[in-house]
Amino acid sequence: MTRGQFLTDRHERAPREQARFIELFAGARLAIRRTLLTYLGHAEDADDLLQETGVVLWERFEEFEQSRSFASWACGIAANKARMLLRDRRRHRTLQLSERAVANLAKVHAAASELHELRLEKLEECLGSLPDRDRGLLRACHGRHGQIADWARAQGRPEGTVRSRLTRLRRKLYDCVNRKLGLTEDRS
Amino acid sequence: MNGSSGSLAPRPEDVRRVESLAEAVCEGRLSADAAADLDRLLAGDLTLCQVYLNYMQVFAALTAPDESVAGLSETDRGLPLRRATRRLPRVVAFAAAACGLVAIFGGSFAAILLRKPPAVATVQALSEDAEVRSSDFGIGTLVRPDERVRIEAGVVTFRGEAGTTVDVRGPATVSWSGDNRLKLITGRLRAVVPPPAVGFTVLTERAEVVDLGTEFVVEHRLEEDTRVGVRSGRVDAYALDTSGYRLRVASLVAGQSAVFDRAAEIYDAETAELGDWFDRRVGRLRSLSGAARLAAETPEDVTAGGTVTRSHVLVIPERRGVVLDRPLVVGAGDRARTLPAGTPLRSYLVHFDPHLVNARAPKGTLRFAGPIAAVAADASSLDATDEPFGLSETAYGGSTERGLEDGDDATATADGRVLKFNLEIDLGSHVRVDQVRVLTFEET
Repeated sequence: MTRGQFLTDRHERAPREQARFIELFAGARLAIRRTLLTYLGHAEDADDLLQETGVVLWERFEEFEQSRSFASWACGIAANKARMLLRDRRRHRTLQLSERAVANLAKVHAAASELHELRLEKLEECLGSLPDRDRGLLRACHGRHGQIADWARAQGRPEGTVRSRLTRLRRKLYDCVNRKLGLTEDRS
Repeated sequence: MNGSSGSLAPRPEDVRRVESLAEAVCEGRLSADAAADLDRLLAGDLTLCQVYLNYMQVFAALTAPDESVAGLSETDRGLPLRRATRRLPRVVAFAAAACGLVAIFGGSFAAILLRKPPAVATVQALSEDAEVRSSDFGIGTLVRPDERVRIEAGVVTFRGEAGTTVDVRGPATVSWSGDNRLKLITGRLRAVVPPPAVGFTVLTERAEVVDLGTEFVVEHRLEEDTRVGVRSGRVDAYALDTSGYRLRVASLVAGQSAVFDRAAEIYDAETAELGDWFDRRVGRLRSLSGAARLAAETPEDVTAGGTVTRSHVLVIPERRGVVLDRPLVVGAGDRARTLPAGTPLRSYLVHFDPHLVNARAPKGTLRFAGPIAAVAADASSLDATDEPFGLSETAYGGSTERGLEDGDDATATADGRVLKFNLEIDLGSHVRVDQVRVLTFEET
C-alpha cells in the first residue's frame, strides 16, 4: 500500500479526525518549524522537512494520546526527522555531526523544553526593545542568505556591513536572553 | 571538566567556541574543520549542547517569527508572490494558517486534508531519465496550487489548466498557482501559450514574464540572474525589486532576449541555445500517455540492440523544418500518404526494442502540436525517410528488420494530432525492432 493510498483510506474513514489534525497541526506548526530550524540551521532544509514531518504526523496520528500536548509530540517526531537528516547529509552538507553529538543534542533538547519556552518569552521581550530599523533588517533579511545582497543594495549599504549587523543582532538577542535569565553578563 | 557524561561547568573558551560555531552555522559558512570541531565539542559535553541549542533557538525564532512577536509579523519566506500576503491582518489568521498548510504539505497530502483544491496543472510527458522528488509522480499526476515540484533530472512536460504547455528541464523546482501563473524557483523552462491562456505568467526571483500569446524560454538559478528569450509572439517581462514589485519592463518579441539582474537592471542576452535545446530534445510533443517516454539523449544507434527499451517506446525527436523539394510517398496501400513539397515538416522516431528481454507489450498515445502528415510504419518507408528526416549522429537500418508487423498497430486518430500505438513483443528476435516515423506539419 502506498502512502497516498493510506492517506486516502484514512480520509474516507475519519473526516473528523482530519479536521482535528488540521487544527492541531496549524497550532503547532510554528513550534515544529522552529525545532527543525534549531537542528538544521538552514531554512530551506527545515521547510522541506516540515512537509515530510507533516506526512509522518498524519500517518501516526492514531498513536497520539489526546491527553498529551500535540506540539510536544509533534516536535519530538520533528526532532527525530532532523536527526536522521543530519546523519544522512553528512556526505554533502557543511554541518557534519556524529551520532554521538546528535544524540546529545536530542537528550538536551528533550530535557530542556520548558527552559526553551522560557527563553522564547525572554526573546520576545528582547526583540521588543530593539530599534525599529533593526527589527526591519531582521524581517527583511534573516534566514534569507540570498536576499541580503539585494537588500543592502536597495538600502545603499555595503553587503558586508549588513551581514555584520545581522550577526551582531543575533548575538545581542542571545546575550539579552541570557542576561534576563541571569545566565551571563551582557556582552553587547 | 569536559567529560562525556556532561559537565555543568564547561570551560569558558569552549562555550565561546560553540557560540562562535553556532553563529557560523546560522551564516551558512561552517567549514569542514569547524564542523569537526563543533562535533567534538557537542559529542563531549551536554552543557555545550545546551549552549548550542540556545544559540540556534534564537536563529530559529528569527527565521520563523511568531506573529505576536513585536515587529516580526511577516511570515512569508517565499518568492515575490509574498507581496500578496504582506502585512496580513490578524483577523485572517485562521485562513492564513489553512493556506500555510497547503503551502507546507504540497500536493497530495494537502489535497486530502483540505478537500482537494482543484488541480492547476497535469503532468503530460516525461523523459526516460526524469527524476522527480516524489514517490508517486508520473504521467497524469495532478499538480495542486503551490505544490513545489522538484525535478532532479530529465524533462517534465506540464499542461496548465488554461492550456499552456510547459517543458521543464531538471534540475529545477517549480510551483503552479491557480491563476495561470508558474513560479520558477530554479531551472529552465519553455512555455508554449495558446490563445485561451494568454496572460500566462512565469515568476522568478528577478523577473515576472507575462505572455501576450507566444512561446518563450526562461532560465533562473537561485540568487542569480534570470534570462528570458522569446521564440515567437511577444512577452512583457518586468524586472522585480527584492520585495517583488515591478520596477521596469522590457517588451520582447520573437528572437529577442534579456537578462534581469539582482539590481533590477535589464540587459540584452542570448538564449538561442536554450530554445534550441528544447526544440532538439523535446520537439513539439504535447503529451504522452501509457508506455511512452521521451528519449533522454539522442541515441547513436537505433539498430537492433543499439538502444534497448524494456516496456516502453522511446520517442526520439528528429529533424525539424525539413522542406522537401519533391513530393514523397510514405506508406503503402490504404495508408499511403504523399508528403508535399515546399512545406516545413518535423519528424519523430518511435522506437521499441526489448532485444531478447522479456518485456511488456507497450501501448499508449502521443500527441503532437502539429497535425500528422504521414506515418512511416513499414521498412521501406522508414528507409526512404531516413535521409531527409533522420539525425546525422544516429545509425539507422543496416541489417535490422524494422517497421511494424501484423499485430502491431500505430495509427493517427481522427483529430490528426495523436498517434495511438499498440505493439506486440517479437519473441526471440535479435535482428528486429519496432519503429515508426511520425512526420508532422510544423504548427502555425
